[in-house]
Amino acid sequence: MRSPIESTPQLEQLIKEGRPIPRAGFIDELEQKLQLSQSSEINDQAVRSDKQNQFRWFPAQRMALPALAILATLAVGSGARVAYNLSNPEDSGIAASSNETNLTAATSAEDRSSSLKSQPEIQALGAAGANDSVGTSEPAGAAGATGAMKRSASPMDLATGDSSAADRKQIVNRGLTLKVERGETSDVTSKITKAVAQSGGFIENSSISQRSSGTSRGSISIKVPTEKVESLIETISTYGDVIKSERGSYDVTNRFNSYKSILRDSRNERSALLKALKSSTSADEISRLKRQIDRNRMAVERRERNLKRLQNQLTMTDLHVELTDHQPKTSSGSDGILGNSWSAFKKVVETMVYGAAILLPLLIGLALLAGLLKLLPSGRR
Amino acid sequence: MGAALKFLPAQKTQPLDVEALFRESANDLYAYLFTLLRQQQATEDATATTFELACKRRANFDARKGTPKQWLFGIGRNVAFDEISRIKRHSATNIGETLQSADAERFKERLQTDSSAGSSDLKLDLQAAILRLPQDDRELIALRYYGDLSGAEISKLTGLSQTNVTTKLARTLTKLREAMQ
Repeated sequence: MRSPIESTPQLEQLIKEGRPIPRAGFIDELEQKLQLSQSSEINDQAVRSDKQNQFRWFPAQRMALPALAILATLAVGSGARVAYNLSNPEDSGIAASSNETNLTAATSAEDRSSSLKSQPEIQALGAAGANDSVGTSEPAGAAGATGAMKRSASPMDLATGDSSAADRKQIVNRGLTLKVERGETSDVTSKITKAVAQSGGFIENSSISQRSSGTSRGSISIKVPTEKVESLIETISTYGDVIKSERGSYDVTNRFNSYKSILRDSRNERSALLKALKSSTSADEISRLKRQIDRNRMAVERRERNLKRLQNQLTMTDLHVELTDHQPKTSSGSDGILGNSWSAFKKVVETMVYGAAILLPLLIGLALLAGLLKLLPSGRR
Repeated sequence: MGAALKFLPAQKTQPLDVEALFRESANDLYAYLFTLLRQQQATEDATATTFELACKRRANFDARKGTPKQWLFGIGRNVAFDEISRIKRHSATNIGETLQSADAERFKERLQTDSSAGSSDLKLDLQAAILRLPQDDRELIALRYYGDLSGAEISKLTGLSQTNVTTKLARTLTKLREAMQ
């Protein structure tokens, strides 16, 4: 039985009440997706703005003249490095003297200022609170001692500054490569296992492989409470020679704060909905509110899970230990900027030689053709 | 007023809070897009695409040019029109015929279950009558009553003059009342 619509306001009310509603769960799914888009968008924006700043006045040439740019940079870099090392042999970090502690402190202070100068993008990201991952890798050959490695700060630490370090949430990954005595890989692995258990961590996975040459390699992935990671690394470092120490950090301050505020909003929304449910009288209103409360409950649970997962990631640090009983090969015998320059220079020369090898026969062919064409009209005359 | 202003950025350079906008407008946008597209799957896709685009473009939002909701509905409108062109291009059937499709049936069923027993027939018939309206009229109804946009906002969004919007809305309501008699 159709009821007549008496007035325009009634019609308007009916239109509003009969509005299409999305299927159950769709809005929640979309919300989850939206959160992901937003966080990745923050990253994209930060990275994009960095790239824009970096290449604003050099947009097309960066693709057109790579060889020239590499050569110029490497030449200047190598020259400057060599000149600096020659003029300041004591600051090169190689010299070890009785003043080793003071020297390390000085070098570390120098590194600190140069890191801040050379990495404006990290500062920018830190200031914007955007997520970022930063990794550092330190060959341990020169300094040798783990203490020195501990004192050297990561770029993220430097960029954020001491004042905000307490509020900053970082997921830290550490890596350690140890050279052990031949045949002691499995012994060291079991020592590490004990040390990990003592520090309250656990081994995620470990493997030892024996090669036909008699050498062996071990790989151990460890989860350890963040506050115990340094002492564990110190302990593990005593089991062999540290070849390489790595540190990567991933800033999640923004994500953490966002999760917390979203959760708080959802809880507030829940209490508001419950209040509204208490005061509502009509059946329509009650059923609508119940549906909303149900959706809100699922959203709150999901957000609590997200926050908990993030907190777990923050409290535990990933430590990856590689064990080897032979010295791994270093790249072309030289390291640092000089090694990179040399390999880049070799690549450029190689490309030029290949180019000449392709172009030269073509040019000779063209020259011969031109000579023949020149001869041909004179013959006709 | 306070609720409407809570996701407004303090300055133009500050990006829009899309999450607040989402919480405020997701259901409204869905209802608007469903009224335009009349297919559940297409509407869900269009809603998701709209919010993804809103996330990407939130830095472009300029509070001086209109409200966040109007901006969002503008994105949704473009997405819906693209979808309508795509459906028209790729499907031999007219989009108007989709009213008879399974999606519309499911929508009717849901409307029946969601509404109270006394008024469900009336709401159902009214909704069916809205979905049978020409696209322009349907859109105005959706913007005004589902999106809860003002005449000025609809005018900016559709490019029609404010008087034209008011007149067209009044005529559409008359049409609906006639259809319901």
